[in-house]
Amino acid sequence: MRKKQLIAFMAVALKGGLRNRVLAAIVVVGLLLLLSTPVVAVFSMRQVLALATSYSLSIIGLMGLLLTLFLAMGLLATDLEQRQVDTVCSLPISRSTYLLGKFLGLAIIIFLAIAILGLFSAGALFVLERIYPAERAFSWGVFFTGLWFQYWVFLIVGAITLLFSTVATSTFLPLALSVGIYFGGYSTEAVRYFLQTGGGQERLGPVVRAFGQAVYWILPNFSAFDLKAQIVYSVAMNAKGLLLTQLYGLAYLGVLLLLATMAFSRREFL
Amino acid sequence: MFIFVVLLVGASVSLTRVRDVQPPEARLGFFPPAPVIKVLAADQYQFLSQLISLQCVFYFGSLVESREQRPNWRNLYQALFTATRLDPYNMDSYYFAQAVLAWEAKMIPQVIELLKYGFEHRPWDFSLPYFISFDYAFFLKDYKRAGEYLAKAAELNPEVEWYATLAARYFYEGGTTALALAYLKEMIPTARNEAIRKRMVTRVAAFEKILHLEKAVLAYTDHFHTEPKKLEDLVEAGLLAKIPEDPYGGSFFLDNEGRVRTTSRLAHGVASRGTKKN
Repeated sequence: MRKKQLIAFMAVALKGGLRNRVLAAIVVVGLLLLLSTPVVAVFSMRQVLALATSYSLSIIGLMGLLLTLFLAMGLLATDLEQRQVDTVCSLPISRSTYLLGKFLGLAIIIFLAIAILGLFSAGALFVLERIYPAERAFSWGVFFTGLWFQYWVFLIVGAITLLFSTVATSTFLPLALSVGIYFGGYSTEAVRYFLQTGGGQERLGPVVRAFGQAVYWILPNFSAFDLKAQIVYSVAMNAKGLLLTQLYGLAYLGVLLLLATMAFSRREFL
Repeated sequence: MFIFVVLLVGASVSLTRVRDVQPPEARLGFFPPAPVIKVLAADQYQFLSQLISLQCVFYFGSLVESREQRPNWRNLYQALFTATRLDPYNMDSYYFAQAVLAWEAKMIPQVIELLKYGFEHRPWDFSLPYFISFDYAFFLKDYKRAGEYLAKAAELNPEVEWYATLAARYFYEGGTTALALAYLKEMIPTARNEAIRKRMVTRVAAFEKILHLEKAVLAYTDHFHTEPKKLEDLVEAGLLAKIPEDPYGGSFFLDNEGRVRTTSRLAHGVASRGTKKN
């Protein structure tokens, strides 16, 4: 019964996203990406394929982030505005089932969007690779692995936005906090390295250093999910590191969704 | 509506004219330090690095064509420095630095430092040590370092076998004939092309004779407290049985600086135009 409810809410979220014509917009972006990638890449002097790859990954990253924030913000906001949450919560349906179902729908839409953009990008890169072969062989396995981990970044960002949406009364605050955490997530590792250097220890007091360390452990470490150097420049991948990153992503997402369901369960709807 | 359209067109044209005569510093723009950009750019830093490189290319290209303003070399170097710190794998930055900053701005030490940084991160890329080697040899006349880096390029790209022979040449020019000899002897077993291998063998033979002559010159200087004026002095002093034959068909001699040279210039078919001491 619970599984059916979960699937039902997932389907609702999915239909909502499709109704938004979001995926249609993504296809348009994908086409623009396919056409513009060669135009941008030929400006490179020595690394046409690298520039093409970097450009398309950047577009996918930017579009994925915007899509995630846009959809995640609307997951609860629309239902709250239209008072549909009141109706749903009055039924014998657990709030956690409702929330998780919605999140699963979001996850599927983001996956489809990344898959569409990834395929368009792969098409452009496939052609360019034939014309401008890279000095080091381009690995499609690494390319799709990188996209997979990029997808996990969006899942975590989506879950963060959802978590803040369960407690916030406006849509702006979850958006601002999610964007802040997204940027913070890519910096915490570098900051941590700096704190461990002699220079960092000289310039910063123990309290600031402790705060920096705490922030590193609390915020998601998105640098671990960033495989662009491996994709663009065929830098070696660390299999153990990837496995741990996947486990880390899974665990982090799990904690976020648990916190979101706990917060949502306690929320009063007047 | 019409007024706004006219205003827009007029303002666009005037603005374009004003911006076309911006000073060089403003045309390239200012880039914050790489750590700052990295924090603000999340995962877009790599593409930003490439954008900065492209901006340098467009900036240089537009100024060189118009010839109205000289590029601001300092700013250009800073931009490339930032680009490489954002993405140390970005080859366009290194290539542009080598192609433009080395030749046009003569910022050789800075370019070499940039290239060395790039080589630390792109250890598979033979072109970086090749560029470094060229800069040391051509601009700084530091043949010893040139030889060291060209040897690295030869190791990474053994298909270009003249790298090895040129590296040995650099070692010789840098006054380290023994090093050139050791290096070539190591490269010969791995040479795949028979013609190249034969050239290396010939060069080894020539360097062995040069080393022998250099040792004799040192012994003469030690004994007589003066440098020999010509190689025949070494024979007369009993330090050499005879002046060895150059495998390239030339003749060995001492140049104005007392270095052992050959009229063949260590190449087959080269005209004998060496500057003999006497």
